[in-house]
Amino acid sequence: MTSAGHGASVSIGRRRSAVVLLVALSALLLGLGGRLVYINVELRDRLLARAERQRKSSTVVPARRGMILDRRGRVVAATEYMPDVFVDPTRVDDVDSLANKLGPPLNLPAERIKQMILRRPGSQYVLLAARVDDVTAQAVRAIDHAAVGLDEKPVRTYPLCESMAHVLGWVGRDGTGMEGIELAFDEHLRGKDGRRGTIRDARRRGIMPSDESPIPPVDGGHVVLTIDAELQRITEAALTRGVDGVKAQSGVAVVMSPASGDVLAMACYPSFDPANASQTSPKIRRNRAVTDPTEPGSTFKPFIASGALEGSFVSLTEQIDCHMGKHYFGSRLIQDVHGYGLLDLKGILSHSSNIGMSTIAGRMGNPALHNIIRRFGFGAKTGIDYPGESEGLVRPLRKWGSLSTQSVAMGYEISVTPLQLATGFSAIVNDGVLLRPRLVRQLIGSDGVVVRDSEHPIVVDRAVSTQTARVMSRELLPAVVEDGSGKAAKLDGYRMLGKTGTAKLPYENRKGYESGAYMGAFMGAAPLRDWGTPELAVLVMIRRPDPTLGYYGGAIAAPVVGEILQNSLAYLDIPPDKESLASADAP
Amino acid sequence: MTVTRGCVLLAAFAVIALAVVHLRAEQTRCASRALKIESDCVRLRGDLWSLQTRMARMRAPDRIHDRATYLATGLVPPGTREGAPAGAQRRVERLAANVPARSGRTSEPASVRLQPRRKHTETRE
Repeated sequence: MTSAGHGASVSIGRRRSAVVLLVALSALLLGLGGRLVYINVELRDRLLARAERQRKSSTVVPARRGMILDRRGRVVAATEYMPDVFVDPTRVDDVDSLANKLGPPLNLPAERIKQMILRRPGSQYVLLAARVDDVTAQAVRAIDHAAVGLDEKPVRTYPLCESMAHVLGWVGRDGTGMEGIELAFDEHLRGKDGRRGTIRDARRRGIMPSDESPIPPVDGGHVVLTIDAELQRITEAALTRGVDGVKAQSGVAVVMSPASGDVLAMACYPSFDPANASQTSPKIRRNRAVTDPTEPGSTFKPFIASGALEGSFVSLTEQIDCHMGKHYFGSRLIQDVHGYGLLDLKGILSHSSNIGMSTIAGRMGNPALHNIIRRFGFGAKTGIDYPGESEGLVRPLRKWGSLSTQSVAMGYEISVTPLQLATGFSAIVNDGVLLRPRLVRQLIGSDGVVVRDSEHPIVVDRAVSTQTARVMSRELLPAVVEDGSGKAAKLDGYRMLGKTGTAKLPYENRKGYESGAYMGAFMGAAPLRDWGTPELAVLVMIRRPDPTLGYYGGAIAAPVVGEILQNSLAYLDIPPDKESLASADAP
Repeated sequence: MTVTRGCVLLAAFAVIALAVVHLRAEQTRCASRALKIESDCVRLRGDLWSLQTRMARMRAPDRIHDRATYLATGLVPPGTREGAPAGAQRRVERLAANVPARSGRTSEPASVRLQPRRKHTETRE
């Protein structure tokens, strides 16, 4: 009984244990089942997405920003890959050793590299150097360290360096055009990045393309400029010498083809490197040829003279009294640099007589003056493909005062941009037809198809009659260079025409003109022949020269125009006039 | 009979399984190769851009001018007048004497010629 009772109690105990175990196991299984259901139902989407993220990766295939080319197909702005050097601090074992290895190729002190790495120990990306060159990149690759990587990024580069910088503008770090042509044609130049998916292994190495169909990149289109890089070089070299020679603050030069309106060169000095534009002040980056209006001084006289001839306010043979250099118009004293007695229109222009021109302007009256100014396009934007163009300042006729007649005749009380002045002068040279200046010749798609072609000149208006324009360009203005104030521009082997100008500069913050602050200018065109339009028209403005070294346009700007024309005509293979050569050779 | 048939079936399944594995491996290899080609394509695009930029730098007028001066070959590039016309003057003299340009130098193509624009002149007049 006792043994039987003992056996029964053991059996009951075992059974109870089994039941407990069974219940525990069941509970465990139930728990696991519940967890399984929770994972499969509740966490399913999140986990699947996470797995997808770990397995697949999407890589951006960068589109290429289109190139900018000069009129002869030279690349003046392009895009290339340049690597950034970075370090993953989580994979660095010996910071000192790595810093010592990276220092020489990156041209950075080892201590500085060490600080950069230690400053962000938890980060996986510490940028050490951006946009390194090929040699540096190779040296970094040769270190072959698991923590060091090169991240290649498309970067905008300008093969001509500072040349043409003001025309081209620049792009920001995100590849968006910020100024100049880069900004004006940003939409055309900018491409659309592509994308491709990759399936990766646990170590993030690419195994195969993912199922998603890749999106190919669409490269940006190209822009062909009207500018010739060689003419630009010639212009920039001459302008630099001209500005430095008289220790001037700045200079602007515009070279145009009068027959087509093409801008062949446009230079501002000092210049800047468009690849590092953000390091230059906005004042220097501004394309002053297009954005900065200034009082033109005597370079404005040919436009007034054209209007006077056109309206028969003066004849070519008429002698006008220039009062030996001093004369009162009402209560206002007007003076000439040198005193002259009687001068005809040719003499007035070649000696740049303020008194003579004021007399003629007085005959014309304000309405006729205002009319001719507007007909040459002053006071309105030229319509060039360039952002931020200024329209200059031509006040409405009702705001002109009694002194305006003489002031405008001498190129004051009016502001024009160098581009407007060059365009207006080109109209005189081009038989009186005002053309829209052009900076862009063609827009080409990334597939090579021409999207926009500006082959034909765009006529804006007829400023003056052909007859008046020819009298101006073939009889009156050549005298400025042959016998007048612009002799310094004279060319070897070519006849030319031109006009000098010197203007006082106003104070920036208050009324009145600054003492000793001048702008010397000269505009010229060549070659002058009995037939056809001169090939080139050039305007040079030199601002704030050292007055002790010279400040008259005929002294400081005319030689620069002469140099630009002489070299440009030779470059363009334009044959010289035999008559000019013969007269130059004559003893 | 049944055992033999079973063995044949097993063998057939094994062969099919091996073929599937082989094909799958081959597919992965091809995909991997395609991925590599895609990467190469992107890299080559980058190389092409770099070469084009390098070529543009070499064609830069300033660089050609400096190189010609440095090599002192006598082929002074046009546009060198500084005060007095030097290289440009020789060129002017050559043009005046109607000496044709060197065969190596091509004149500006018609599409980029500045003059004449006869059509336009006629319209104007």
